[in-house]
Amino acid sequence: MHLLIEKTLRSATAYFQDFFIHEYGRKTYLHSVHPSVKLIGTVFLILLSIGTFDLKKIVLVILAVYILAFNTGLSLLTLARRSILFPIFSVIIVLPVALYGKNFEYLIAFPLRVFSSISSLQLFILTTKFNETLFGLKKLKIPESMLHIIWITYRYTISMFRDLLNVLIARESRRLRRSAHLETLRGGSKSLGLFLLRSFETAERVELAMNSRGKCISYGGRYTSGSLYITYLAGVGIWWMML
Amino acid sequence: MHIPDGYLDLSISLLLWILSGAVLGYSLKKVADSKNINTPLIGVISAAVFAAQMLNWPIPGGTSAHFVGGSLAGILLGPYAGSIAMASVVAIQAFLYGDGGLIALGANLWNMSVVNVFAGWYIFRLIEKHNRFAAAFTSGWIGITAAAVFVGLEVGLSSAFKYSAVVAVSAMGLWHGLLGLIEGFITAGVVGYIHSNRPDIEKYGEAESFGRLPLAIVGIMIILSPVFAYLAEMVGYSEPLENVAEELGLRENQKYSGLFPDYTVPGMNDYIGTLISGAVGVMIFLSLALMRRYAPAD
Repeated sequence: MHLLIEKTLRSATAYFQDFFIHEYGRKTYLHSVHPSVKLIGTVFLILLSIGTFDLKKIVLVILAVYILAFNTGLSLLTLARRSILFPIFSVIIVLPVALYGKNFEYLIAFPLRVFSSISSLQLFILTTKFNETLFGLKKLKIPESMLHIIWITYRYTISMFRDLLNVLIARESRRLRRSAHLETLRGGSKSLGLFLLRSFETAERVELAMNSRGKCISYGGRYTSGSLYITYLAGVGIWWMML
Repeated sequence: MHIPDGYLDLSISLLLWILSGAVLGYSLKKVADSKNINTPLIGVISAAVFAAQMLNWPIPGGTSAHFVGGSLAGILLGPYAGSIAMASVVAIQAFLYGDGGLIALGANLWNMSVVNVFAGWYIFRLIEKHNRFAAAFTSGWIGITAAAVFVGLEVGLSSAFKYSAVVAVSAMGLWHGLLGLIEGFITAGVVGYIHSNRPDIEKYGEAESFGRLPLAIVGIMIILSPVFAYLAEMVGYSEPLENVAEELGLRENQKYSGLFPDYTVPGMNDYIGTLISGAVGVMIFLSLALMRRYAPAD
């Protein structure tokens, strides 16, 4: 059981760091742009990335994303670090088929497309708090009930994880001998069952608390229309089409 | 399991957005009509599933696997609320962690919050009468494996990904078929624990009037979605933005000789070309400069 807890804690620590990283401390121009505009802009950049296998065009989008990040004061290293893992994985995936077909341009273009798309998405994540993302989605007419559920999920994830860990640690403290894999699975499943039962009870309490407060969830804020951002993307788009 | 942008063709991504939107939209409506299920319940259970996904189960050989929970969400909350709960988790993973793409989000929602949840729920209901443990185990195992097979199909049918659908499905299906055994075991353990300690909780998954026809329609949509994806691909793979460039006559000169050779646009009247090239340059650099100028002070 201790292996289960140790491995979980290690990966969860890395995961939860993102909760804080995404709320990037420094305020930049991009932070002030309306989140719905940034969402549409991000989709546009991803479409430019995946809309071609032409290396020049892909490089143009990557440069456009990184120049935008640099110009608004974001750490390029952070952006690259958060975007690089899957492109490396993509190289490994397409390596056999590219070597077999002697298609070396594909070997470069495919991972670069992925890198460009992920960088565009990460730029959005690094400059948009989660409540702002939901505000942007609300403006884009995503049903509010769905957004409320997502917001509650976001708010309770860390709290629920703490509860889960408490259940696991309590079980670990009662353990007297080293357990086999099968035993860990069985014990872990029971702990998970207990945790889910507690989650249902928590949900009942949350519902009552929300009812007492009037069930109002607000994600709003004041933002600029992002005309400079739109102009920049339009310029990049025209350049892309001309290449 | 999360497909990033760049792996799927646009036609397949759009198709899966439409299918996911239809099923999740209907699920939202069913949840809104339900007397038992409410927003906080789905939100908190989604958070619990999300937290449970971080559990790393050690497996022989020093490696580990993590729980996904689609089938479990379906069994505990019913297929409609379960699919909404999983959609909430998948959306947070995309918008907060960049886990899976934005254009590919429709496909990820389809695989993890529709196929996994509904397939898991159907199987559970089918076998439950005979043996509850076996039903939950099979539901967890087949649910995750079905979702992985759909990932393989969608990626394999995309012309952007050079492997055939057979290769992609085999790679995804076999691997997840093995790891799915752990998912099945955990699902069975949790369902068994809840059944023996708080059977009243099962009302969430059972009391709702699900209706046979909508469930049958969702099932048919799931079965036919690879056929739709194949047809979408057969319609012809094309890149809309490339087409726009062609329509505007902006790609006649394929040999690259600078962005705006002689400050003109190839294939266009010189005066208009000069105007456009100047405007594009000014747009990009002015907007960059002003972004710094007008950035908030804090």
